[in-house]
Amino acid sequence: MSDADFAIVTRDLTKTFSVARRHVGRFAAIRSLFDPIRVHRTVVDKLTMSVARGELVALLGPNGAGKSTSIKMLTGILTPSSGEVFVDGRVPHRDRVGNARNIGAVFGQKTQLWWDLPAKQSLAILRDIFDVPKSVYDRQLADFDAILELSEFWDTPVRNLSLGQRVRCEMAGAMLHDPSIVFLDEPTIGMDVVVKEQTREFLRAQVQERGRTIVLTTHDMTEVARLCERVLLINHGRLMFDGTLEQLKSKYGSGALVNVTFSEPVGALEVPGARVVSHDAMQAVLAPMGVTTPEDIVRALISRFPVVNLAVDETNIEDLMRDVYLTTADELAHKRDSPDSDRDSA
Amino acid sequence: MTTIAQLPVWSRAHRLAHTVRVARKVSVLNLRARMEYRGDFVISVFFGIIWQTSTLMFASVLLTRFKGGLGNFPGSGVLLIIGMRLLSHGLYVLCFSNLGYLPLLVDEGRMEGYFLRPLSIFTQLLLSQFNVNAIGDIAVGATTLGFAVVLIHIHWAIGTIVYLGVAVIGGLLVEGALQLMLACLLLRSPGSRVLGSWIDELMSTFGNYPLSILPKVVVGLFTFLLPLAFVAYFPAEVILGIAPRHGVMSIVTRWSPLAGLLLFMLAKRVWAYSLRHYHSAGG
Repeated sequence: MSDADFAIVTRDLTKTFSVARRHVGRFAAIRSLFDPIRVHRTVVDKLTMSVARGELVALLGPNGAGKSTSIKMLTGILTPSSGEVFVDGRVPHRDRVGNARNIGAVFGQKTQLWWDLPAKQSLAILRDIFDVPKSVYDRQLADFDAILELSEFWDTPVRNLSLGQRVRCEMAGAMLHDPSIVFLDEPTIGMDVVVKEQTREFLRAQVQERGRTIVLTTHDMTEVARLCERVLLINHGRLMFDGTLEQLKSKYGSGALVNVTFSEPVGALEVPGARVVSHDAMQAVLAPMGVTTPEDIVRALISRFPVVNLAVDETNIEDLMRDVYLTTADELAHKRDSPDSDRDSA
Repeated sequence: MTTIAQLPVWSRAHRLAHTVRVARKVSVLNLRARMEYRGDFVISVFFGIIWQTSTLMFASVLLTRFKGGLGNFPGSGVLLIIGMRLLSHGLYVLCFSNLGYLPLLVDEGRMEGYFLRPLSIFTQLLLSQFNVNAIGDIAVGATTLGFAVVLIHIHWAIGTIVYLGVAVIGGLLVEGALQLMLACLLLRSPGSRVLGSWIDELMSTFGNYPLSILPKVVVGLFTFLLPLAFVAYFPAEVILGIAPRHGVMSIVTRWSPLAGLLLFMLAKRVWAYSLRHYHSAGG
């Protein structure tokens, strides 16, 4: 596939910020004022990835991993320090206006609507800015209202809307001009479960019915599990994983765990294809290895030991992500031990 | 289906017409939104009038004390400087004072929204809210200038009236250019806001009087460093016929209304450079 077949392509995309670091010791504050130590901090580090048209991709990572900075480079807000970035064939920071016509973005904690105006008037201004024909505008608004129930509150000034209401309006504003690519940076933060589900339904419709490409950053793993076909994991600015959630689970997760209770004490516990996570005389926890499934372990336990109770627990996705973040951070720390890989330089 | 993004690239004229249309609509809606809070609206307009009237009161005390005028300017000439300066400043508040809110817009992330729309970021910044107090500022400035025009004993030819109008716009652009350059600094260092207040203070303290009453070094500073001489002092000299007739200063004075345009064009270049190096707030 050529670059033109992808909605988004980045190659060695890097963003480095110069930040002042304080002196330590005597007269540190005065020395920092007149002679600050400048440090170059790499926030996104040689990010190479691509997103196909019509894909809904989750961009995941712990706080400070470089997700938002990546999105800001993809939307043309920040100019990369080095590397290449193409969004629908355009270089966003060189063709900001052209890129803006083709993308939509929602930054969950920040508003892009007019604070003093009712939300519907903000949407009408966006219609003028993007020069959306009246018939298209009316149709879009009706479609968005059908799922997001905007008409209940769109006559209220934005400053008086709840967070959930505001973000729903932001989402309508971001897609009003029918963009082919949409970036959503933690769009459901602070929403209640009902509104979250409404928003997910809206996003699903945008991908399935409108064929939009969506890049979503979130810390809500339920959202990822329900929406995203593909996961891109960033840690310390580097792409650490690119694949499906199932692949992520099999690479980093412990998978399902089998909890067993025995009717009488059991000594040595050996089950083919299973790792014993914990074992005391009456209870044990086992994890499948390789191609072994939890069902294989259950069958083996029942046939060999005096079992009175069995339970299979799927790994919690939140726990999985915690393990992934810690593991990828460890992997990076090992890489950084080599002398030529220091990322902060004065 | 043709998406909005696939529409043909706009011509410069189409872009300008589009910007004007959006600016008009947003300004009307913003003004209407401010008028919905009636008490707040009235206080803001009244505050603009009171603020500028205090400047006028101080000037009238000076003119009463010095009946022969100030420096090489007659009393009505001083009133012309004050009127031009106040009207330019009122128009500046109307058009450009949102530049001062830049640190807030950056902190709140609203600035980033401006990058996501196919409209000049500068235009969007100026349209972020309607500054109601500008109405009071403009009212006082226009009234003062009106009085000055009546009191000055010169022949108001069409050319002189046009020169006055261009000079007022030039003054608006000088102040706008200075604050735009400061806004470039604010993008990187929000603490520079105090510098903006200081410039504002200097312009309102010294910009309303003939600079000829000040030492030559200070006049030089207010001409070439902080160019407030170009806001009202130089054009008023030309209108009153007391501008230098020979030398470089003769040319500088006569063409002074263009200084605002040149400075503003320079400031826009610095602004474009600053946006390319925008750092954004937060992650």
